[in-house]
Amino acid sequence: MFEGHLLTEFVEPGLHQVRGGLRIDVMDGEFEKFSAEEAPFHGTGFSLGQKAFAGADSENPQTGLISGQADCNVQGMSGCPNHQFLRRITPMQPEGWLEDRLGRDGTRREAENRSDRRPEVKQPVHDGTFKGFLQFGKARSLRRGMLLIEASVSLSILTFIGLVLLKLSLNILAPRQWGLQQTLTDAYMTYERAYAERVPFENLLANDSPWPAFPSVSESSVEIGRLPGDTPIMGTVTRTRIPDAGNYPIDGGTGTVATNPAAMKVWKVQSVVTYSVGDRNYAKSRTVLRSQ
Amino acid sequence: MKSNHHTKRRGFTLIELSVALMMGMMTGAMLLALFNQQLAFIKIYRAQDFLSVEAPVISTYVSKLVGKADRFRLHASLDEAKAGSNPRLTASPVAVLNFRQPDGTMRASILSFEDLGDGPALYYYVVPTSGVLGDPEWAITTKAKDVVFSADQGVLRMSITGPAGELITYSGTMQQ
Repeated sequence: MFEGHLLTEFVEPGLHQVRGGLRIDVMDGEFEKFSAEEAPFHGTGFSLGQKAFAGADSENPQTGLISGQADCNVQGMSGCPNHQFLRRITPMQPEGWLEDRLGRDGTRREAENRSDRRPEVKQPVHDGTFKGFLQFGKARSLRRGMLLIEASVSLSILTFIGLVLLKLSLNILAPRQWGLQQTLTDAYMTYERAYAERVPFENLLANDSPWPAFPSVSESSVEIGRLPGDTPIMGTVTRTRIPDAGNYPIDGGTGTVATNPAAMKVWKVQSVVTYSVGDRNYAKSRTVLRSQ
Repeated sequence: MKSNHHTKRRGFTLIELSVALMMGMMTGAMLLALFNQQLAFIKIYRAQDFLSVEAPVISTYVSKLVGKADRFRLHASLDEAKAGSNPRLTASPVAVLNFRQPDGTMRASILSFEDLGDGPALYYYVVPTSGVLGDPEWAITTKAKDVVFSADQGVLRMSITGPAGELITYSGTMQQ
């Protein structure tokens, strides 16, 4: 079933791992079998080489393709199963918790397979360390204090995000707050305009006129409206009326019979509302032209 | 080898654990503050909606109506408005607007703030020529908590109280 296919699949990785140290025997086009008896390696990891291909089950190839890990926990292996499968990882003596994971299963299985139940005390010829796992071990040692660093970084990021969100919120709310003041003052100015249009002309020109003749002005404090939360907005209304230049002198103008033969009385009735938003003062005016 | 490896390990000191706990608590507190900040933002944003969105729309509708009217009356109730009894100039929930038609006849419409079962709302009625008032034509607003009409110096004023206590007053005069 795996004739030829496994050969091409495994020859290259196998050579890569055992370069110069192993001799490959080809057995009738069947599985490639490492001559493990002659391999210089010892220990759990390299005893796997003895079973790697020779132990392949044609009925269930998955069980034997990963060296010696037929029933092991794949997550506990050094490297991903694919690399184990392709034997891209040099068999090695695991270290630390990897030793707990790999060494325990492997050594136990080896011990179970041996007739001699005495524990294996023989150490591998090579030192059993691997560059990648040395780095991993260092990373583990560097993990001490990582929680503090990660918490500090997360706190800093959260603080930054909070400030950004606060600024964005203020950027949205501040113009709306300003717009609310505009809405309220605009609404109030509808009264000033309607009143100026509605007031009878004789009342407008009376001595107690709501709009005294300029430069006289009348000032009064008014409640413009209320903001959400029942917060009153106060303002000051200043009213005055300004005569047209074509009026007769008695009406504040310089007109004559020649320039104003119809004796028109024209007044600009002006209301100015001043209010404050924060530290700034605003003024809004409406002018109505009344004539008779 | 394995046991030696484990014996070399040491636990965290009380200070380390305390610092880590403090950092965790500060991170949690910051997350909570962020959440509360967003809630407050949404609350303020929604509270501003009435004045910034709803009230101008009400003003547009009512100012168009009032500006086209020839005269108005204020009443305490819809029934009095229909009957034309007890007109007044003080604060009232019902305003009757009269419009002169091209043929010289008069038609009336009513602005009434009342609760018809779906909560208080400002409704607009058109009084038919038969005089029998039917259902309102439309609800101008359902978000106002109170609407009061009043007359000041001959100017019709409409004070609208919003759900958050905001108060805005629009004014208008009849066409001259």
